[in-house]
Amino acid sequence: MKTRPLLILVAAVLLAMATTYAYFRWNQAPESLAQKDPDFQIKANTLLEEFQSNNAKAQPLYLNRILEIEGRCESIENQGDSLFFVYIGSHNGASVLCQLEKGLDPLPPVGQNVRCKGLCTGYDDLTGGASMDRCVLVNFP
Amino acid sequence: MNHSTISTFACAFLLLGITTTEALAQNKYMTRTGSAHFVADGIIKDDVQARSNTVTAVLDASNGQVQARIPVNSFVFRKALMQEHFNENYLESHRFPNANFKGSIQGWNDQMLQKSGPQKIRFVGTLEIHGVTRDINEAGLLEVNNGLVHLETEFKVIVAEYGIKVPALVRDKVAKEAEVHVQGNLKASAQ
Repeated sequence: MKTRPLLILVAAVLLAMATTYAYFRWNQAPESLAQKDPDFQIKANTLLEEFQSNNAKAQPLYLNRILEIEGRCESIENQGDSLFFVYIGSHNGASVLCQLEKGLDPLPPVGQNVRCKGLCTGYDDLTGGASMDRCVLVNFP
Repeated sequence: MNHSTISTFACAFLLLGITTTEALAQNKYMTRTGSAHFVADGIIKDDVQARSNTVTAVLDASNGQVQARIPVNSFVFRKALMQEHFNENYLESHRFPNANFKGSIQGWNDQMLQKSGPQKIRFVGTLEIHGVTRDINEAGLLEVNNGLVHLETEFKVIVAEYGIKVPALVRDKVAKEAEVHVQGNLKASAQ
């Protein structure tokens, strides 16, 4: 008979732990990709060429994957203090648009070769470019 | 034909060429960094909202045609699990990676780019979400500022009309209609 209160206590503790875990899991913010290993490492120009030449083949391969691309910083753009974009590589007049997950000071100078890791959001058939989100620059500055 | 006449013709052709190129370049306005934001909070408020900052939009000033693309998996939520469910279960971004608008600005004339101040417009065309394409006719705004063409629209999307299935378990948390706001500042493009 003495075991019943003990069982109730154990069940209550387990329930509290499960509820706490579920609460934190549900409220967890999207994690940074900074510490994640990339699924693919690829030159920015090669990525653009693959998307432009055969999107049907490239899209399933790269979409929703973490890519680490390398290429020339073609231009940079910011909107206020919170949104920063880097355009990397160039093929047929289009670049890979990378939205940085947070601002950088300094931003890479135009013309410098950079490595950028981020989530591939696919091919942009309106411009011939590709895009990546939640990006971090690797080994920069 | 003497040397000076040839030079004059060459200069005239060169100037004509430059002017034509500039005119062509001014025909299209484009951005790849427009934004889209939606709110779809149901009866139980749970912060169901997300934002994308990589919206591509192209305006052809010669005929008022507009195209826009929003990468579905570029929407960032405050909660990681919500983002995961949105991509994997509801919008299925691996199958339908983009939301697309194709259409035009109703009653377009190129004088609209010469006017100052905000102008009320209507976007007429088709909206494709989750592989389902539907006609839309939505109010918007156009404003030219420092050479940038600002386009903006706000509309409602009825989730079920685009074949998006919301499980019964979260039906009270996710609204039947999502309020969507899209805007972008388009620059003259050489493309």
